[in-house]
Amino acid sequence: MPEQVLLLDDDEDLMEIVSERLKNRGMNVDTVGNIEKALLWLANKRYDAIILDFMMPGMDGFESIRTIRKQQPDIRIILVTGQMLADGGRSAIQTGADVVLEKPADLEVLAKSIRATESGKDG
Amino acid sequence: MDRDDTIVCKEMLQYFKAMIPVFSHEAKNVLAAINENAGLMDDYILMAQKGKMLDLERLGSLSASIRKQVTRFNTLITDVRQAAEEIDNDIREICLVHYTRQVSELLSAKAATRSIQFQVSATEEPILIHTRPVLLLHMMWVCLDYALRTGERDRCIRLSLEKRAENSLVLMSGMDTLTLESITAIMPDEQRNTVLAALNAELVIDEKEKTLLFNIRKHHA
Repeated sequence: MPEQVLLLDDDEDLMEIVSERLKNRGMNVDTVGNIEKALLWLANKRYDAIILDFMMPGMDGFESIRTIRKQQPDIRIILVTGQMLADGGRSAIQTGADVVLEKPADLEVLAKSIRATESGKDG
Repeated sequence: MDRDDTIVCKEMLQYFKAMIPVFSHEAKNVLAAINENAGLMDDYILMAQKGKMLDLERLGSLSASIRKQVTRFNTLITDVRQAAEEIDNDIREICLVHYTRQVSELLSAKAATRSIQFQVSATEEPILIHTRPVLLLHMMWVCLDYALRTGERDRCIRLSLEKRAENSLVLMSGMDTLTLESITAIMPDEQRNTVLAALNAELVIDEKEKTLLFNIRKHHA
């Protein structure tokens, strides 16, 4: 069964391309531009994974992770960040993210991180 | 080097300490966009090798997207390099509109996390002033950064620029929670007064109107 992915980014061009590339790899991808819209989608549809940037309009990364985790406890949260996280992403993982990838991220690593949802392994 | 010079040097370093991580974040976003464009082109090549027709229009839009990112990156590095070169300059002629936009654009991603927008309003013509560029950037940065961290979410911070015969003004409105005491939280008295003296400028708070006026007086040789 194709993985259900919600992709959240405020850079529309980037989001469109990543979405197309994930679809090329057999995934079903929905895209949203801000956290409020993402929460609406999460309330109405079950996703295997959500991919989000650390700095999003409307909410910072930690706040977003906590809110998403509360709404869908089983979803795989993949944080893709352009920030150099001082602790290498440990605080994001402790907050509830499953995977932290630094931009520019390798799409194959990203796809593997999403697919780990099914196998229960880390990406 | 006297005490004032030491403070000025330290404050200029503070600007780079605050700005470089933001620049790096923006640069990484640009690199991510270029990387994904290249990756999608690779996907198309693989598909073409399997017999799928190449969509030339789509390829054209990808190359346009890469060019857009190159322009964005070029603007970023030009501004950063210019700021680095200006550390050694004392007083130089700069465009206040360009510098105000530069600071507000660098802080816009951080502002968006609290649903705050910047709106710069100025005349079409450049506002040319003689000033110490890095200190000017630093002072605007600390004021706007403070405004982002405090006060209500979901608002607009307006930056109105005006040039007069003997001074230039940056009126920042929508500055919630700004008080006479909070100006010290922005920057301690000694540092603030030294930087303002070096800029020949003053900060005027209007608590009722929630405005901060940055009044930059003309430097006379």
